[in-house]
Amino acid sequence: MTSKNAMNKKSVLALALGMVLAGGAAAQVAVVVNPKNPAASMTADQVSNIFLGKSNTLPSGATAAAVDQAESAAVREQFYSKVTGKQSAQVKAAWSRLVFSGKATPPKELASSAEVKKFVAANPDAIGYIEKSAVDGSVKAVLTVD
Amino acid sequence: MMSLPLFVGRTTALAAALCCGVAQAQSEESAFSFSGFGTVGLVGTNTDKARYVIPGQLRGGDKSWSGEVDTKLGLQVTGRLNPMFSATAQLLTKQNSEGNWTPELEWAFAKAQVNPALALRLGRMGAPFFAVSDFRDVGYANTWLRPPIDVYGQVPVSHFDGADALYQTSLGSTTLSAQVFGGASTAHFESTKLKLKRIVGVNATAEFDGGVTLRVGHAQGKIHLYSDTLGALVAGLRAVPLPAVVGVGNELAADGKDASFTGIGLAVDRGQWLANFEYTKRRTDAYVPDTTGWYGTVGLRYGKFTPYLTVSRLKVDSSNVNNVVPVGLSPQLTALKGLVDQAVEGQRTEQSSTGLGLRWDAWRNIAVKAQYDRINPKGSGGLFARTQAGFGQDRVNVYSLAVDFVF
Repeated sequence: MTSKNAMNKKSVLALALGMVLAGGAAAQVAVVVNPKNPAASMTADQVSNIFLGKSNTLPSGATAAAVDQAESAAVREQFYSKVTGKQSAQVKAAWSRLVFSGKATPPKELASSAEVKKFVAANPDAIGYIEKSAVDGSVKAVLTVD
Repeated sequence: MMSLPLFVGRTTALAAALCCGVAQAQSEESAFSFSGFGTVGLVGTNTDKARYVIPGQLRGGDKSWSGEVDTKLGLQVTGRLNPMFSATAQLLTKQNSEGNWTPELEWAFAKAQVNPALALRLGRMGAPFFAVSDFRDVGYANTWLRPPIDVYGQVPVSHFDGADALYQTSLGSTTLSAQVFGGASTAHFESTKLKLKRIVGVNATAEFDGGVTLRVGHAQGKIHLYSDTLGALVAGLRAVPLPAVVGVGNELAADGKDASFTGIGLAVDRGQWLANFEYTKRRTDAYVPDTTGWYGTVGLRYGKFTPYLTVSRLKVDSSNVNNVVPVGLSPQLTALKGLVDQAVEGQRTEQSSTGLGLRWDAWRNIAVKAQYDRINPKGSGGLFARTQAGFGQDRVNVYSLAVDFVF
């Protein structure tokens, strides 16, 4: 618990520093899909529409199975601010509009990048995001942001 | 109108669907998703001559602050049978229009996602009369402390029992969605029972690139008001052997008359800026007046703080009653004329408001809001409740504080 809190504080500090240094210190984020997914790349808009609940389809037409990272994860904050251009409170408000109008349910939250990779590798319609450094052959990166 | 046994039957069917969801989906993860929302709010004003309420409520704030106007708690559960079928129920408790806090079944519908574009729903669901109808009670989802009552106070119906079809498609970078719905609804307004029967409506939105959303909606139905006072007055007028007086009774009556509600809306969410605008018209053939309501909101995000400004107006276009009951013929007729005037005056809900507020995203799922409204009731009782003699001439200051949360 203590070490986890310390980790959180550290990552918050790193994030704050990253922001101060205009993103220079922040890690790259990769949007990943299953290797069987025919899409070679996706635009930030396409990814953003899926993660903000505006669309539930992949470029192939299949229904996307999107997965999120934990709310405390630094990669989540980076993903939303860089890909969707929205702060976490805005994202939360957007999802609460969808959830409480019965229109959609938010992406399932997984605990770590390893879990996201495992889910994406096992599910042909999955889409998630992880640190670029965590990308390996089990998944395919379709978008990378700094 | 759905009968009680039918509704109970439908609810039972939903419960059964939810149960099967568990049995069937054991292999899948998360067959159920629970979520909730709530608000703890306080409202006070600078007058003791009326109560500030959300229209329909019986109790509200005056110089003594009230926690009963905005405070609420909603719980929602969605059960997923398979990727196609799901069922959603929402229980909401707030100060309702009968003056109590009994939790009410706000929604209970089964949904079939026929394909990624088309969804069909059956049961009790949100009535999409406004831009934010579905989540008007979810404070966290909205920038304002509460949706502007000059517009949202026009229709006290929040859900209906029936069916709808939702179609969503993309044209380039534009997302289009259309909804057709039909059904019936029972609601209360200051304890008076109100039914809308044979509701049919459409609701269409277009979401353009750059955070611009356009909405148009129209709904119509038959309005029934179950008020003993109104019923007695209408019966009294209809019993007078003068066609003109009978005509006034017919104008007042709300026993299956046509009613409609039409609205257009525009929302802009672009970088730091947000803006919302709605223009709406209520039309009825009964003593519930024809009204026009509109508002415009502009907000600017500074990190976790969003100050916003709202200007709104509710105007009575027509009382729908031409009080031609003659005076001087008999004391009874003169008394009737006075009662008709009273009934019409009670419905004159003119007002204009200017509101200044601040939303602070204090924590991950908690927003704290403060709002100041200055309301001009234009010589009428406005949307205030329990107005006393002398109210209406002066502008009223309304102060509100709220903490909104979702989980």
